[in-house]
Amino acid sequence: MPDPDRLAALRDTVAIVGVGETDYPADYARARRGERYQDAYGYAAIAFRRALNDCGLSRNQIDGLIAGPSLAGERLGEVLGMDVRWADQADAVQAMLKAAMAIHTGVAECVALVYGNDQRTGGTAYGGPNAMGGDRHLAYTYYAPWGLTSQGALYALLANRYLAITGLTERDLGQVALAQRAFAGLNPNAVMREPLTMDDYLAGRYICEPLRLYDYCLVNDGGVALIVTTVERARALNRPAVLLRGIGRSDHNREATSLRPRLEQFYRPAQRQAAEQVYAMAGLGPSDVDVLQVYDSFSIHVPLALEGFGFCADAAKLLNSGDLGPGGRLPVNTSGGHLSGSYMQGWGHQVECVRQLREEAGDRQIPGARTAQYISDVAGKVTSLIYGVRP
Amino acid sequence: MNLFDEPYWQYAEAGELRLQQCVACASFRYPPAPICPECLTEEHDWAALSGQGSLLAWTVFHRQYFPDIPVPYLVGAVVTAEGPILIGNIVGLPAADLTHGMPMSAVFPPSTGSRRLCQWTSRSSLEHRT
Ligand SMILES: [Zn+2]
Repeated sequence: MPDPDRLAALRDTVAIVGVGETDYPADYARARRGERYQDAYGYAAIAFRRALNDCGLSRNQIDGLIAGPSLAGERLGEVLGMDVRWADQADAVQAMLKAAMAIHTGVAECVALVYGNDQRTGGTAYGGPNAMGGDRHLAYTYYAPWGLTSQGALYALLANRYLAITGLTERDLGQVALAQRAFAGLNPNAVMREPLTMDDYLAGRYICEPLRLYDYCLVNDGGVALIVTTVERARALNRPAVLLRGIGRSDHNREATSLRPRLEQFYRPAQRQAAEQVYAMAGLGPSDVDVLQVYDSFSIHVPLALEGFGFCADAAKLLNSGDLGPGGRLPVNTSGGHLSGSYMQGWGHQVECVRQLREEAGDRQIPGARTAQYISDVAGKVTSLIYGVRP
Repeated sequence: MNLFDEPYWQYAEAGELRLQQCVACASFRYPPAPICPECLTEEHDWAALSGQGSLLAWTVFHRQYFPDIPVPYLVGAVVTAEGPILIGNIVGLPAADLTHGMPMSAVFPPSTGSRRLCQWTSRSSLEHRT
């Protein structure tokens, strides 16, 4: 059972001190021209170099290394020229959890979390006979004989039922894409920056009904790195430290392939558990969140997160209020997210939390942001992180 | 294909819808699995399902992912009368006629590809045809 005291002991003990990303729009333009400029390790290495420069630590002070899921840990260490005391492999949220635990136990003091992906120039298939992820999520490929593959199609099935039950319309869903595109327009490092209107959205072709082109994430190349260390070490760096205040997690895998938790429950029980833990550990609630980042391979993730984590009872009203976009009360995916910013599988969302809390987000800065929350719900694996800065 | 899938497809080839059923607790397992997730018993039968169910959700594919499956095509999730959720193509009626919860029946059209597939149609459209 969750022990609130043990979890609370971890609160505010580790800090993100450095972040780095690659040049998403420039690399996207290169890819569109057919150029192969880097591979996954190259993007990862560029981001890592930038994260080191950002925090002022030198490479030999990094004693822990976590490689993102699209990289092999051994090769990453070789490419970066690093020998470390502790290494691991993880997706975005799990990487942050593992880094916090490693630092807390003392197996590492300064951990680099490094991600790189050449999914566009490398031609990663997200649907079809060889759909990516079928080895970890059986449902991504199991129904191939009936032509059902891809995470997008599974979320389209969810959206079909969710819209019918909640009364949410396709236009309501379009508000997610519009709000994030508006933020992307304020972010020079977002891939899709041209304004998007509701007419544009509705004119977008269906991929898997009811999800349209603009409900789907981008597929672009890039890298992301974060440097995490103890709060004491962070203080000595004389850089604004972003503290990890809360961790919530819940894995619901029963009947995952049958799609029952997806289609009958919209993963709400898992969201509820993760929400309870993250808010209890941080000592905060949804109303304390200044900036929200939601893992958005598809627009539908956003209303699911808003309802599942208790930001609202009825997402339609909130989506249509304008509160999720620039100038709104609950800004969501302020970099443009996966839909319009860059599809770095949740890694970029951590960086955006840091930039907002450091007040380095330029035109898209949320004034006075002190608390940022990340919510990820991929196929019933729900995780949330809350970051904060000392006032 | 997984180790335990083969019998499912052999029955489908014969036009039968059968799923693994636990001999200890009568729970169904789908997709086929080595052990019952309810009681962790290995022993199972391949029990025939009634072929009746209700429509839980559907999507129309507009993007072509498979060279031999032309778009648009309909994929639905059906809750069978016995409980398990099965995926299939919805045949015999257009997406515009679908409603959540509508009664569905399993059909096994002659194979057009490498396997004979369990598909679903509305119970009423099946009754009109027969
Ligand atoms: Zn059993």
